[in-house]
Amino acid sequence: MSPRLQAEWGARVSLDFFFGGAGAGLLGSYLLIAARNGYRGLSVAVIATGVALVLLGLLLLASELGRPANALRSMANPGTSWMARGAIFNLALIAAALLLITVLLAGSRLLVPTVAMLTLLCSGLVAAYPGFLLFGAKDIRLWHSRLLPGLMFLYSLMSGLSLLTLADSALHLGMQATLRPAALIVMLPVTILFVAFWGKSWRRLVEQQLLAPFVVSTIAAGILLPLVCYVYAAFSGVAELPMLLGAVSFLAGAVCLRYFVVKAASHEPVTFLAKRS
Amino acid sequence: MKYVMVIDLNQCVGCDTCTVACKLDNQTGSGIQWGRVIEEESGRFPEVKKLYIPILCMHCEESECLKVCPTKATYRDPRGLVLIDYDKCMGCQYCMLACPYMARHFNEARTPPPGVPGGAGGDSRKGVVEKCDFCEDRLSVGGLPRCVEVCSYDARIFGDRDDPGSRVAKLLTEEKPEVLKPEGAYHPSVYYIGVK
Repeated sequence: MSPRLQAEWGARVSLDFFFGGAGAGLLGSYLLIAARNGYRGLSVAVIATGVALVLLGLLLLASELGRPANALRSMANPGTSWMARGAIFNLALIAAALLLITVLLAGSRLLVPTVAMLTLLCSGLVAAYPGFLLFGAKDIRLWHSRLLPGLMFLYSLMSGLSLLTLADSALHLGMQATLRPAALIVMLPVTILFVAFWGKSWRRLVEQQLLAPFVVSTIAAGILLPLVCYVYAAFSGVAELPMLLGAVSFLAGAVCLRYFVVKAASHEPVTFLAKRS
Repeated sequence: MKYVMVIDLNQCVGCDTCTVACKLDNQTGSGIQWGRVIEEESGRFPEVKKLYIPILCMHCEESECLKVCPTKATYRDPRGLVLIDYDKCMGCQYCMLACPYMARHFNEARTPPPGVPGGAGGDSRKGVVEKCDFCEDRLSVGGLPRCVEVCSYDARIFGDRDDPGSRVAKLLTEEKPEVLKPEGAYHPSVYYIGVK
């Protein structure tokens, strides 16, 4: 008896994890950095982009459901189900970010720090929940790893920083001096957790014949190239181009990581004799 | 009251009558089998062992599917059955990933069998997750699950574990029943005897 590949979730769920995580990471990293100067000069465009990404993730997830009309019930069981908690966290994040946009547009300076901190808290929960969601499937060993929630959280945060790098370049937010060390600081634990997680589980990729695309997309493009770019940007005078290259490369790797985590998962075999022989 | 099933692997010959009867009775769709029989072999000739292992929803006491269901569509009834309220299910399939026995199935209803209006199981199961319910409708009128009824070899024994006079209660006491994936501590309601 061999393990049976999970066939329930596929590319759309992977993209939900990516977009939801990237949106939450963008909001979280932006508000974390902005907290240093008391949330002055917050960009509505960046916050709106974060909300749009989280919404896109939710829409992709809804398209995967057999009966999306029942989705509103999905908040009924937060006591034990991470799917229920995730739905609550996502809606809370969208509501908090929209409130932040409203407060910014209304010019209510006094309310901004409170609403920003609420948004920051919700973004952290949205960034972390996919790892716990997958951890909840006890029978799937690849997912039932204590490292997965941390890996998913850090990937979301790093995706947010990558998007912020792109936004900084496009909107001239003046954040490059902060983003350069931040990207390197977050990239290091991402790499350590990545190695720790897949070091135990790489055989799953071999079983599913996913090793070659994994090495190219997730390791080379998603980890090694961004690391080189961020180290170069941190210690050389030329920063913008390597930072942009690192950001785009990491985002591509982050999409692939979610896909491989979902697709390489398999159920443990149902057997009496295999365990005795 | 706690309904359980005991399956005697010494008696099961893997004829799949239970699989077919279940499918007909519950009108399950293409590719969906609430009950199935898997084959296992071990050893080398002449010391070989072959088992036919019927697999169905185990109606676990520690049901992973029940814990992860976000809409509370999966619930436990007073008889110990783990059931699905199809009107509440949103078809996210999280329960299928959580089920250690792979006993749940998603009804995409893309290929309805001829003559079945609305697809497999009718519209009530379209777009939701479905599984064995121990023929709950039959139990409610004093009957037995269809797979138990049709088994020609008396390999499946069904009854109330809490009734000391029942055959299942005696088997659970006298034999040494085993369960699949005991390491998960799911406490399934389907027991197997004759494994060795």
